[in-house]
Amino acid sequence: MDFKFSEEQRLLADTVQRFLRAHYSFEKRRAILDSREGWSREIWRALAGLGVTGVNIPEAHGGLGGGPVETMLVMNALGEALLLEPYLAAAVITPALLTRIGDEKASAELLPDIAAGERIVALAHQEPHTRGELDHLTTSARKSGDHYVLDGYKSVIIHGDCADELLVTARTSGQMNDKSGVSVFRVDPRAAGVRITAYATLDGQRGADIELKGVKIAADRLVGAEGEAYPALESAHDLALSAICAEAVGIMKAVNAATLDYTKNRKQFGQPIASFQVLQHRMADMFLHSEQAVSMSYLAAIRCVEPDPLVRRRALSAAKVVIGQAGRFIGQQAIQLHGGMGMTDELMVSHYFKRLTAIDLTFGDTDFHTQQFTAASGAG
Amino acid sequence: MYAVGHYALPFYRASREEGDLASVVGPEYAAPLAAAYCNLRKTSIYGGSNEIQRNIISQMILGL
Repeated sequence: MDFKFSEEQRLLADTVQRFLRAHYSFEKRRAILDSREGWSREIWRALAGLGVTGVNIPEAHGGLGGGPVETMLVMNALGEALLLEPYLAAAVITPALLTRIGDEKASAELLPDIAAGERIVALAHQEPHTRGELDHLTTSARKSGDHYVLDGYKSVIIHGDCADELLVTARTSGQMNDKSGVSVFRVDPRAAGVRITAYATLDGQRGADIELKGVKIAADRLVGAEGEAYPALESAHDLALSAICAEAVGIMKAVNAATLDYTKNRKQFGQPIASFQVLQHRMADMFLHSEQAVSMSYLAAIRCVEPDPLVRRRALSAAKVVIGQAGRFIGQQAIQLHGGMGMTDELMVSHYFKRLTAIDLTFGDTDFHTQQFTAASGAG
Repeated sequence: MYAVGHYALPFYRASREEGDLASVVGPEYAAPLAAAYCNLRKTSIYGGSNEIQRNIISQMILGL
């Protein structure tokens, strides 16, 4: 396997990393964290100016026409900076869904604005009883003349609080776990019957629970063909898995570097604590986990668009499992080695730890993906 | 937290200003979990870290 990145890919990675190192300092991030909205429109516009918000958008719609590998490189940098802006929801998941669902009208209306950083569109799919399964869907869409009526509840929707528009999945037919009958609708968050409860999440990002009660949606707001959205949904979800694995890898590398630096400087018992063998072994283990995570992240990015669904499922779930376990180990050990101070807001390490924890709980946890892997290996 | 799933993510910072992200979503028992996890991270550190405890066990109990 050739892991060399192209000139363009290296340039993209460097650009994003350099921009964030210069403009997204720890202090700047804390100020954004404490702001009312929880993210910075100024930073978002700057990222759009660099083309970063358009990485996953086809060139025809104003984007860079990149794929999972380009996304991985961007996410590595976003992880290092612990970006609070709605990149995953608005620039990874939504463009992937729209591109694959084959609705040219919706793509032409939404994608250029997303690439330009002018519109935030978030996917609202997860529900209260979802435990990682993508096909779990109880929100219903009843057709009635020239419109649909949506009823249901979406929970912990990433950046669902600030979306200008929501892409809501609802069942137009079939039973709760059927893959057919899944439809996507463009919903105005201010429409009658839509109630949004916004909050911050553990990692400082924003989320929302969305209640839909008798929400009337014009029939032309259906995206793609009725009942056939599942393949596109799965595609978007696969890219999202690859993306958060890459984000976690960026975080792990930063955590390990910070921990190494700390232990070399912190003196106790008359010497830098890095001179103690037990701690050296601990840090060696942290680097071991990080290296494995890097490899699995590469695998996820490559297999993300693999046509064979079992191969794809195995690779992505395996990556999520490794990243989940590595993230947990590295996060916990980093706090242990920093001492109690590591858990305080004043150090970046606690923020990294919380984001790694959140990633582990997003899009299916380690246990769920272990089951998925087993099922895709034909043993389950 | 894993038992609760994605409802472990909403995080309520009591020290924030009034009227700020007040409502609780999801099951009530889920709300304090993430905060408790972060707060209890210190237990392997304070009062003598796990590493120190292992040193003590090695010296005092195992006689090494």
